[in-house]
Order: sequence, then C-alpha cells, then structure tokens
Amino acid sequence: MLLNGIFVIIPVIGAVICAFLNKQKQAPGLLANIILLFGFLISLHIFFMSLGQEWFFGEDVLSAFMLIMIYMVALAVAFFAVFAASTKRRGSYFAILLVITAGMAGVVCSQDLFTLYVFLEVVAVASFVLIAFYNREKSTEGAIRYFYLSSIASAFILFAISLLLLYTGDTTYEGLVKTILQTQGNSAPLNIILGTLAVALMIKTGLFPFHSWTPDAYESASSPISALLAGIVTKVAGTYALVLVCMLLSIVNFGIEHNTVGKAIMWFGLGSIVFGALAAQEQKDFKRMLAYSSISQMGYITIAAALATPLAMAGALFHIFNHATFKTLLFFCAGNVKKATGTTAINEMRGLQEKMPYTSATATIGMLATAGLPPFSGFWSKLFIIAALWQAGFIGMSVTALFASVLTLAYFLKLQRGMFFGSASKNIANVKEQGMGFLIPCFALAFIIIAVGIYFPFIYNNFLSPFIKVLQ
Amino acid sequence: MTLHFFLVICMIICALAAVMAKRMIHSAIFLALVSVLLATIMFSAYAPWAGVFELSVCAGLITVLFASTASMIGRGESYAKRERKKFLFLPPVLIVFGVLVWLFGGQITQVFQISQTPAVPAFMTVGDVMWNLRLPDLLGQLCLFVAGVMAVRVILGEGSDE
Repeated sequence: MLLNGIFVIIPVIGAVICAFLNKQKQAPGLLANIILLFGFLISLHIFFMSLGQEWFFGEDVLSAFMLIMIYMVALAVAFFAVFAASTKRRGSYFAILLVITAGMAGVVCSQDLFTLYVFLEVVAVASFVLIAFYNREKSTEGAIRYFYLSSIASAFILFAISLLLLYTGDTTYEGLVKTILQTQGNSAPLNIILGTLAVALMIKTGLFPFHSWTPDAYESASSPISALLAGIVTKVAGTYALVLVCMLLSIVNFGIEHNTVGKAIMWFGLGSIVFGALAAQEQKDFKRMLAYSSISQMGYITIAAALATPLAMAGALFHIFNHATFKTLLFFCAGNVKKATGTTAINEMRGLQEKMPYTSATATIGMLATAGLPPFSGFWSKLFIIAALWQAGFIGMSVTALFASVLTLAYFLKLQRGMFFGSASKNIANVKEQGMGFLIPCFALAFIIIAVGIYFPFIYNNFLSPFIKVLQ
Repeated sequence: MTLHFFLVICMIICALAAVMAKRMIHSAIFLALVSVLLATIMFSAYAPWAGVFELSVCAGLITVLFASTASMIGRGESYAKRERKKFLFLPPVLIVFGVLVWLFGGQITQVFQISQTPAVPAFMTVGDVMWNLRLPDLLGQLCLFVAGVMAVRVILGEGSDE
C-alpha cells in the first residue's frame, strides 16, 4: 500500500490544486491529464516489474493490473472531458475526477477490508457529486437514487465487516485467508457474512435486481461521467470487490461443489445477463441501452467470479478489462452523437454514418466487441467465461450466456440500423463529425480492443496463463 | 459500569439536542459531542481503534461538513422550529425508555457485558494505532474529506451552470 499510496496521494493533491483553479479554462484539464498520464505510466511500469511474482489480493500484479485500467479509463475520460465538458466550473469538475480516481486506486491497493470500505465511500461520494454536477432535475434524481442505494450497500458492508472482525479477529486479506484456512469445516457463519458482503457489492455493481440506479444515473450524467461510471467505477467499487469476496467464498467452501452462496451469486449473475439483454432491446435512447447492456455484461463477470475456477477467474478479470475499454468507447460515441445532434434518441435520426463516419466506425467496433464477435477482445473473455461454465458442469448457464450474447448482437444491430446505417435523414443535414479532441480517445480505445483481440496469444501466454497456473 | 451509564446518558441528551436545536450550527456541535462521548465509551471499553475512527471521522470530518453546509445554505430559525415539532415526542419516549432500563437494568447489563480483553496491546497509544497500524485508512479519510468538501462546494456552493 505504501508504494501504491502515490496513486492515491498525487491525484488528491492535484484535486486540491484544481479546486483553486476553478476560474481557469485550460489549466485544470491540463493538470488532471498530466497527473493521470503519469499515474498510467507508473502503473504500467509496476505491472511489468511485478510480473512473475505471486498473485495475491491487494498486492503486486493484481492491483497493478487494476491500476492500469483505472488510470487508462480516467485518462481517456479526462482527455475527452477537456473538449466535451460544457461547464464553467472546470476546476471543480476535474478535481472530482481526480478524487474519484484516487478513491478507486485506494480500493485496489488496499489489503484490508476496512480500508477498502473507506475508499468505497470516497468513490460513492465522488460519484454522487459527478452525477449531480449539472444540478439538472434528472441528474439530481439519478444522483439521489444512487446515493440511497449506495448508502444501503455501505451499511451492509460495514455490518458484514463488523461480523467478520468479531468472528475472525482480523480484517486484513492475509489474516482472513489464514483464519479461514484454520476454521474450515465450520463454514456457515463465514458464508452468511460473506453472502451479506456480496449482496452489498451487487448493489454497488448495479446487478439485477439491484439495478434501478444504473439507467437513470448513466442517462442523466454527462457523457464523460457516464463513461467513467460504466467503464471503471462500477468495476472497481462493485465487481473487483465482489471478485475478492468470491475468492474468499471459494476458499471457505473448497471450490464450487459445496459453495451454496457462490451458486446463489451465479444465479444473480445469470439473471443480470438475461434481464440486461432483454431490457436493452426495448430502449429508445442510446445511453439507456448502454446502461442495460452494462447490467448484462456485469452479469458475465459476476457469474465467472462466483464460479471461481482458475479459468473462470481469468475470464472475469479479462472481461473486466475488456468491458472497461468497449463500454467507455461506446459512451464516448454517445457523447459525440449528443454533442453533434443534441439528442441520443435512437429513432429520431438515421444515417449518421454519412455525417459522422469515425464515430460510427468506432461505435461499431465497440458494439461488436460487446457482443463477443471475433476477432475483437470481447470474444476471448466471453469464450473463457462460457468455457469455464461448461467445464464446471453448468451447461444450462453456459448455453444461456451464449444466447444472451446473441441478444446483445441483436440490440446493437437494432441501434446501428436505427441510428447510423441507411441514408441520412433530413434533420441531420447540418450535422458534422466531431473534432480530433473528441475522436482521439475513441481511436485509442478502438485500437486497444482490436489489438487485444488479434494479439490474444501474446496476452494469454504472458498474463492469463501464469494467472491460471497460480490459481491452480 | 456507572461511568458508562453516565456517558451513555450524556450521549443521549446530546443526540436529542442535536435533532431539536434551534440553529443548524448548534446541531452540528451537539452531533460532534455525541461522537466524542461515543469515542470515550469505545476507549474505556478497550476498543481504541473504533474510538480513533469515531473521533477522527465523525467528530472531525462530519462536523466540518455539517458546519460548512449549515453556513452555506443559511437556513433560519423558523425553518428549524417547523422541523423541531416532528421530534417533540422524543423526550417523553426516552424518559419511558430510561425508566424501563432502570427497572430491568440488571438483565440488560448482562447482555452488554464489556470485554476486559484489549483488542490491541496495552503499550500501543492512539498515535501508534493511527500512524502505524491504520495509515491507509487515514489516507482514505483524507480523500473522503476532500470529496466531502467538493460535494458541499459543487452542490450547495456553486449552483448550476445554467
């Protein structure tokens, strides 16, 4: 944590400076981008330096991997926001962006459940402010709904941590694992405690049936913020912590065979996959469709994390990375469309491809990757998850997850046909493609999606295979 | 045990004053006092970690946030009066509760037996706990403080762009 503390301290110092530069137009954005670029490069360095070391909660490779994702998405969002954020209060805007980055870095660097809880609260407060930033009726409603549900989740987390402290006498990950290994055979209390923790984290993730805050929050927030929330915040504040809990559950129950709580979480994951995919079909707004798509994709990660076999865990972590890239890209595209046309309603325009070719092309890459089509990155992580389910004997779940992927393709094709394809409608006659400031983050993320998909053997041999071996 | 009961009674009175105070700034101060008293109880019950966090987060951070919010939104006494009416039932309810505790106190104290085993070694001071054992949490609190101040500033202080 001390080494990784720089990932928390530097953004916080930057946030304080940004807050004092509220009247400046360029300086806050520039400072935020420099800090985030610095953090991204350092996290890359730490990741490659720590390859080959033992994977463990909150240490070394796993936290470095998560730090790369956090700083990559935050940097892309900060760069996009320099052009897309229409506010006079740019100092405050970028200050909160840096605070939430610091909070997320704290979550993945912590080696103790209580520290994790404190940083989850930082992320919750900063998310609330970002959603409500423009003080519009809808965004305030979305923010309040998020805050209420997040508060309930926080109460559950604190309650579970208190019980865990009473039962095991420790809240550090290392201490918990040691105590769990010593007390195996009496798993009922630990299952109840970890189950409570899992429910709280499912609320934070926005899984079905705890999803009610996500569509409102994503739709009402500005596009850079929606991208940040869907791209990384829910991953770190919900899914990453849920992966840790699922790992502990797996240790408590010697794998999946006797893991009733793990199986229950898997059903929640499957419910999210199916519900998100079906609900997305009915949406008439680009951002709302992306919100339901996120609920569905979170389901894939959850089902794999709860299965907790080495292959499933690798799939879950890989899908966290992939979803962070393609969902951030899609929200940027939605932001470009909104900026150019003033709306994200799907049926109000046609043929945007003619007017906005780059946005359309990158959106298509993001959509195909989300649907899990080869050779894009999403194909490989979904393949891992479905193969892991099949291998563990959950054939019904595996087939359902596969069919839900087809549903994903269906609603995105519907979106493409309704918004981008065909001849341009009259109401978009004066629409123009956005400038390079808006497009550079889209190109960068699209490049990552394609590169990860094409160079998958390299990624498998160097990152995923060592991880699977350690877990085995 | 007598000291604990005294502290608990003081805490309840401060909590009552916090919800019924005429001015919001007084409410914030009473709330801070509740946290200080709770932290004292935690220290005397051999739970210095919990005491330290209660003191630093609730008595420190939350009070600053409440006080700054109260001064920013600047709501007057009339608003407080209208709100206070909702809580007029609280003092009689608490008196009845107190009588019940006095009558059945013996059985209740058995339930709330305070552990005599210290959670941390006796030679560790509050400073040791904060700076050596829970340093990452302090960092988290610092972030939480900055996030809270930004929340007050953005939502209540700056208004909307429109």
